[in-house]
Amino acid sequence: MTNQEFQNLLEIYGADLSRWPAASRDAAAGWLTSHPQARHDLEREDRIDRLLADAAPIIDGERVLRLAHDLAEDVDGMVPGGWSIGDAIRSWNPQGALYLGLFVLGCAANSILRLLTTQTPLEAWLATNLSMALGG
Amino acid sequence: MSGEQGWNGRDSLDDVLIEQVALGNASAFEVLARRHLRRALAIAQGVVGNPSDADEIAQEAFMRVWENAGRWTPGRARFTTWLHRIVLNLSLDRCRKPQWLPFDTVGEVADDQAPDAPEVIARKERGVAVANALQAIPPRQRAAVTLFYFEGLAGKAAAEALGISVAAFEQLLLRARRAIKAELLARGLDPKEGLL
Repeated sequence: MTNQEFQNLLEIYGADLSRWPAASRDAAAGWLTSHPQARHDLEREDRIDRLLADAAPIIDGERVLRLAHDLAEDVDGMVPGGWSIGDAIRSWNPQGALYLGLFVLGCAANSILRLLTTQTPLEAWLATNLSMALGG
Repeated sequence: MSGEQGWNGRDSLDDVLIEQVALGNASAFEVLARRHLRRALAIAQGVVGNPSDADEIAQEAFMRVWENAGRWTPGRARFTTWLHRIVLNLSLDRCRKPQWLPFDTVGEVADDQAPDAPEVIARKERGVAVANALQAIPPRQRAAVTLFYFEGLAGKAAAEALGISVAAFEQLLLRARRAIKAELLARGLDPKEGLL
């Protein structure tokens, strides 16, 4: 191990050698034994480690239990699984289905009118009113 | 904590529970949630910075577990890797939203009315400096710090949760740690000196 490698790993993984990659631990321990300055560097990074440990979020046990309970209540009676057409049909709002049906019916009526006449009533109305508005 | 961890009893129990969840067993789901919610909350809070967002993210993550439990293949990967990845993705998405407020306001050192001992004041000041540094770094670096330093995950497990290589994860940690040191120096707290 070189000093550069030691310093690099120290800056990444911190002062606790047990948290370093397994392949580097023995070499790092050997480096520490033979280089007194490295011990000083380790102590410097240990201070940073402790500052970071103090900044870790504290999660209250009651909060965990409350959320777990809420989650269990949320899923109670629900069927797990991804989206399927069957689920979508079951979860459709009847009012939405009615609007969709009316829309499809309107499209069909428009198509039939197009087949039977040269102009649909809407096109006739637009032609009259737009030409009047434009002074035609 | 070692860098390499094998498959263990905890993973096997998670596999049994997730199989039950896929069958619609709400009790198994609650047990699974109780086992892993604390860490899910800690990861989310470490990245987004405030508890209320973290609660929402953790709940959303577990709802995704419920919805997708049937697609889980036991033994192929760890449940925790999957869960942590969901939590991280939701947390990073939250940070990208324009209305996201990064962290709860960090209290100023002189807020307290009670006369504190100099060491208590200094400790608070260091806490504010670290909190500010964490707030200032990019969310992915914060995620790396959260996984490795706060939650004690091994480098490999943390890299897997983030969906990146170990080398890329090391770079995130390195940059985050340097940014924190720079913030401490900017506040007159030299990490090379005995600041603790």
